[in-house]
Amino acid sequence: MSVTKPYHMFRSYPDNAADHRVRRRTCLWLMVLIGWISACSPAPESQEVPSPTASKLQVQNDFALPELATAQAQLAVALSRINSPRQQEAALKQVIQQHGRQRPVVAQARLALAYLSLGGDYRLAGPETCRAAIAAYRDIAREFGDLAAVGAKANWYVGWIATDLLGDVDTGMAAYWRVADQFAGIAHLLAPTAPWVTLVQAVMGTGPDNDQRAVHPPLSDIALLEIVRNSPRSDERQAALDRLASSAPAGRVTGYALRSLLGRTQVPESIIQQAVSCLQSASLEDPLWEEVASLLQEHRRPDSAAGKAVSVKP
Amino acid sequence: MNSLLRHVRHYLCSFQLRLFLTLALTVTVFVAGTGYLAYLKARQSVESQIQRYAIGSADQIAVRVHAFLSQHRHSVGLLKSALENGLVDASDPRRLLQFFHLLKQNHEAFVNIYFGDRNGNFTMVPPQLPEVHKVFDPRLRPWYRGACQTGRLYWTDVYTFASSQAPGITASMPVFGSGGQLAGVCGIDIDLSTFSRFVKSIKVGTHGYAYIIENQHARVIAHPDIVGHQRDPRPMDSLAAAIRQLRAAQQKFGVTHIGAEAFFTAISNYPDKDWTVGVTLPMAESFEHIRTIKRATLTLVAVAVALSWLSSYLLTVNLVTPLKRLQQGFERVSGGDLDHRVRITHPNVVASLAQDFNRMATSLRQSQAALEETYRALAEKEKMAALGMLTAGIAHEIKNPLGIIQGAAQVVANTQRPMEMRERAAQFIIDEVQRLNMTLKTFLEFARPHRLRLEAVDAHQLLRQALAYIEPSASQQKIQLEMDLSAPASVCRLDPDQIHQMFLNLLINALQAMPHGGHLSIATANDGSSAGNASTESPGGFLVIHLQDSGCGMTAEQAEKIFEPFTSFKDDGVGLGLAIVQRTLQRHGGHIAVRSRPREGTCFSIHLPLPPNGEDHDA
Repeated sequence: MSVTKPYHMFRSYPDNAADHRVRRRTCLWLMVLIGWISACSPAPESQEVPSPTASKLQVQNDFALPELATAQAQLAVALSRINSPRQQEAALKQVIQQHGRQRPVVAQARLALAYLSLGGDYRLAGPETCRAAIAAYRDIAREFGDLAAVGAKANWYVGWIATDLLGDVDTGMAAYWRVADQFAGIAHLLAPTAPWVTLVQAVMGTGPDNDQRAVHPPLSDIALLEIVRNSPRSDERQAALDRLASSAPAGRVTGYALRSLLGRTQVPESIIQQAVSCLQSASLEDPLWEEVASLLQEHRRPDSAAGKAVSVKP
Repeated sequence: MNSLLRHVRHYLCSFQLRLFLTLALTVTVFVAGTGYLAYLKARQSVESQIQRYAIGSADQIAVRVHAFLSQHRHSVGLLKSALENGLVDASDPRRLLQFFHLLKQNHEAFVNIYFGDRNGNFTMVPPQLPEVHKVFDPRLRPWYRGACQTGRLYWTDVYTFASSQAPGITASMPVFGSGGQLAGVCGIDIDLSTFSRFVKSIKVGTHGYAYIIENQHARVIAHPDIVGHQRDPRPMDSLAAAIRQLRAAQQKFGVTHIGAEAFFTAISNYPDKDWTVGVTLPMAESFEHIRTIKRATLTLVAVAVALSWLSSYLLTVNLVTPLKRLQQGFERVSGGDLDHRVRITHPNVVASLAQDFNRMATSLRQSQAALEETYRALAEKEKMAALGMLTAGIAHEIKNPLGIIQGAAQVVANTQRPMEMRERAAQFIIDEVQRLNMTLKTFLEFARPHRLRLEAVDAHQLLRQALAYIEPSASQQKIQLEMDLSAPASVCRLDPDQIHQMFLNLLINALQAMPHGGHLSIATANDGSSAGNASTESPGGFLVIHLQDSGCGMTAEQAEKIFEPFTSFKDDGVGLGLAIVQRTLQRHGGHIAVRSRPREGTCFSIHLPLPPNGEDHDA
């Protein structure tokens, strides 16, 4: 006799003929369930953090710089972000090697390398170091003389190193006069602005304290100032002052020049006259001009020969 | 197809499906609801944790930044003391330079260390660019002016350093001479790059970051982007605006949108400056935890629901299948298969039921066996009783004729008797033998009835034939016959010989009940009900024949016994005629009823089964 039994996937009674088939189906179901749970479980999180920069320039074995889009930006980073002189030198050489055809960039890198050759603090540099630096600057002036800003800076640095660090005033004056004569009015060559500086300036906005670049005087003026300060010849000093006073009578560089000259014991009448003239248009709020006025007052005192001859406006 | 639909309908209405759905849906709703509530709670917990973490991080970073700037503050103080107390001679630039170099070597974070005197002389480590230094006047710088104005430690706002063109802040302090007059101002610079590098070094989550906002101008002064090469200031503008809003709302936690991305932002006030330390965490990173919780909750809910459905199904099957097997057992047993047993091991309650069922079946089987034995013994007894009664009846019916035959034979054998007497005695013997023969025929008819030869017969026709036989006798006895054969359906499946004999027996009985004349009516009718008496039924209804005589009638007691064998209320009757009539009708599927009163007559109602409509009407 055959007995029809209802079909069920799972049965509770073990004496059924279809038990084996049921067990196989049960296992299959459980495997499907486990697979589904595994598929739904959250995947382990990746520990990789994407690099903020796409590529890097390996400058030295232990030193790399981000590869930026332009040579100017690359130069700016090399000039502004590296504390170690050794690494900075390597970075600048890398810029020269990578962007050798861009002469303004190469020239600035060369200028920076020449400055680095003076060591961490130029005030502690020895004579040989200074002479080597002068040679480097002269090479730059010769090689990149057609770039006015580069030529002005290279010659000015020759004058500065010779005068201030080596005490070779003649060489220094000659260099300063080259700057004053050949590169008069050429804007000061500043290092390109680093990206992060641009960013901060954008956030900060502009203001009197923030826009130092705008008030940087031309190197030719600073060269004339250095002639006034350091030249042993009075005619040379007078000539330099005349040029400064004629171009910017109330400028700070002129003020520095007057302060330097008025600080001497023997002051020619022409200089006093020029000081009086400049003070008429200068701001007495500036301590520099206050000093100039004060020094002028010193020369106006009765015991001072110069003081009798001049009258200074308050 | 219909079978399939019937099975589906049956399944949809089944107890199994309802039980399964009840269990599964209840568990599903419960599990899903619990999972959703758990997810909401976890999300709330994560958000609260993120908020606490962000605010706590901002507070901690403010403390760390304060500690970072403290070294600048303390070093400036040390510098001031060294200059004022003559430990370092400010008028000797070379000594001053050496001291600054020593200080710088020990403090990498000090960008510039310097001293500017009241005459405009300026000494700094690292050195200024010479072209800058030549025209540099420290007295014009904000750090110098601020220190002079306050007379104590002064922190500048963010400004651009003259030498490096980099923006930053300065901690400066005035240096006084032995007479109390101002000798100059010393200061230490921190450029924003260094400041930002320090802030960036503080880990805030995986992708979070910290920054510092100057409240007065609402501008960022330390931010990880400053360390990198980012040129777009808009994100920092957005942060500054967001912190302005938070401060305006006096809240420490909120959501900031930078571009298309959303961030959690928490702020903390810097201890002694008008700065705000901000911490920003990408919501995507924070919500990754929530998404993980969501995925885990969904997975758990799905697994729980699947398992609940599975367990509900198994439970249903485990419960219902044994019950169905029990039901099948009941069907088998009720169908007569008392040897059927069900074998169910669990669940225990159904297994217990199955054991009870099996015990019941065993008991039924034993009862049936006992009953069969009882029936067999009873039948044996009835057979013996019937045999005894039959034997007694036969003996009774044979005894008298045998006595008559014995007496008549003695007369015939006596030759001295007159011839006439001996001839009359011989005639008695012949008559009694014939009578004995007739009696024995009747016995045989009763004891061993003929096999039925059924055919479609018009019962009216048989009645008319039987009436034709008795008409002469009825006329002689002055009995008035009345016949009303008006039943529309009168064709039945009958054995015509036996039914004809039955009608004759009943009609002769009626004539014998009216020896002095009377009235005999025969009428037919149809009874549409299928149920006859307790033992007969006919789907096509019955043909009812009423035989009503006006004879002597019977008492109720007599009427009850009239169909029993060997019961006769006549002097010469055997008592088997009506018993044979009743049995003949029973064998045809019909039955007979009697209604009688003494001196009023008797009415026999004969029910003959009619075939169902459309069958055998051609007779």
